[in-house]
Amino acid sequence: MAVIEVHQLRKRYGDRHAVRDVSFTVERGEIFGVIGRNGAGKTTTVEIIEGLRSADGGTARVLGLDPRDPALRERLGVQLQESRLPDRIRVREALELFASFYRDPADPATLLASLGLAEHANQQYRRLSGGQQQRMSIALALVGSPEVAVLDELTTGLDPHARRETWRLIEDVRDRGVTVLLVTHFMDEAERLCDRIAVIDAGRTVAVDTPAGLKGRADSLESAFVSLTSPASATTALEG
Amino acid sequence: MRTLARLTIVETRLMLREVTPPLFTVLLPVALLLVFGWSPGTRVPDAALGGHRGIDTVLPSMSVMVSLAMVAFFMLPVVLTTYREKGILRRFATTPVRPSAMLGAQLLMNGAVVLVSTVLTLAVGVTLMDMRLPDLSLVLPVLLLGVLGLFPVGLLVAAAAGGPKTATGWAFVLWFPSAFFAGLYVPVEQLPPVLRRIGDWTPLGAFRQAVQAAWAGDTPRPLHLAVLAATCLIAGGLSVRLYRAG
Repeated sequence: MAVIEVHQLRKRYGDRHAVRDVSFTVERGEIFGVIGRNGAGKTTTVEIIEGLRSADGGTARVLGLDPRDPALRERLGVQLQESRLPDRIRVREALELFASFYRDPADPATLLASLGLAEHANQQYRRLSGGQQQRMSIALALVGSPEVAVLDELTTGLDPHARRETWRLIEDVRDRGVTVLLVTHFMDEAERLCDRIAVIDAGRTVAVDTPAGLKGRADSLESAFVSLTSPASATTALEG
Repeated sequence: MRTLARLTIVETRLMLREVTPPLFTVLLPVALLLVFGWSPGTRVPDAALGGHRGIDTVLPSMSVMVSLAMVAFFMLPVVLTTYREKGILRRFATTPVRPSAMLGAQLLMNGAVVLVSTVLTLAVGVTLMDMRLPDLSLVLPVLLLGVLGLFPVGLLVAAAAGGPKTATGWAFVLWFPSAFFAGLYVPVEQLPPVLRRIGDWTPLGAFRQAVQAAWAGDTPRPLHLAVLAATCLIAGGLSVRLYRAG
């Protein structure tokens, strides 16, 4: 069964068409990447999937449910781009608070240990480094033991070392049976982690393929991405 | 219920870790009571106060009014707009917790601050300043009505303002005229009748008059109670319509 189904999604803010025509299907157990340039409509698309925005047209289903269905909140873990926590909340306190929201939460202590945050458990959020805050945010996305996790730009702002650690973590999460929807604009990240990738450009899906399949269209994933998303060749890419 | 309790506890801890705002809100009213209550004139019956003494009427009502205004106009909207600006409300919106639980936790916690401040005013007044212990079965319901009337004003500020800076700006715009009509600068009893009448219709002015009557053991005027109830409905309704998480 498809875990996430998005079909001809449309969303407009005033005169600006953020999403014009986005379609893809995510299967259970996949790490599915959504890549595109800044402003391509990636975040709007996942915000609709997360139930934070409603679409103007098209359909989105997550685990067979409408994204706005409250029942989904128990089963979908979300890591938001640019979302912070209260400055003075402590790491363990935040995790235990969020765990208390769910019927069947993960054990906060285990989660902290697996994210390398155990020694910072008593630290206030504002005292954490960028990488630690990011891992905290991943921990909160996983604390409800979700079936699906949506992770938006999770390695942006991390140093290379922290990025690699985060990648390992995402693979661990998938190995536990969680389906992952990963939004990124890093090609190496998408290539390393994703089973399949949707390329979004100017609000449209221009390709859905495996990293290898996308690379087959050019000499690297990076140049495949560039040729798919540059204005001049967008039409050829769609046909090709 | 369990989630609400848990959120309230965590939010209260967060507030106490900020130290300055809650301390200021709790201590300022007591400081005002001590400073203005120093004069022996506040402890003799005053004809302008219907034969009551200042220490049993205008002074406690001033302290409680200032504390409620600090919480409703400043503390509540600043926390809520900070949470919105930082994406914290959106973060909560992706979990099973309902937005009303977060709001409920904020209202409970801020209500507790007003209560603590009132109890402190009462304790200092009665033990140090010869204040008569008021009839709490009159004072507490009026206090509750004041909270229900004025907190929605803070919610409205939070809903209308983009971030904490704008919210603070709006809070000052509300605070100065409200404090004037509530008789902070010139006692209401000495204001010209027209200004007094306007004050009767402002939420903070109505609250002060009502709490002052209750503190003195009189029944508050229905007009003042009605103004608070109407503010609750109007500001509450508007803030629900304007509310957005991010």
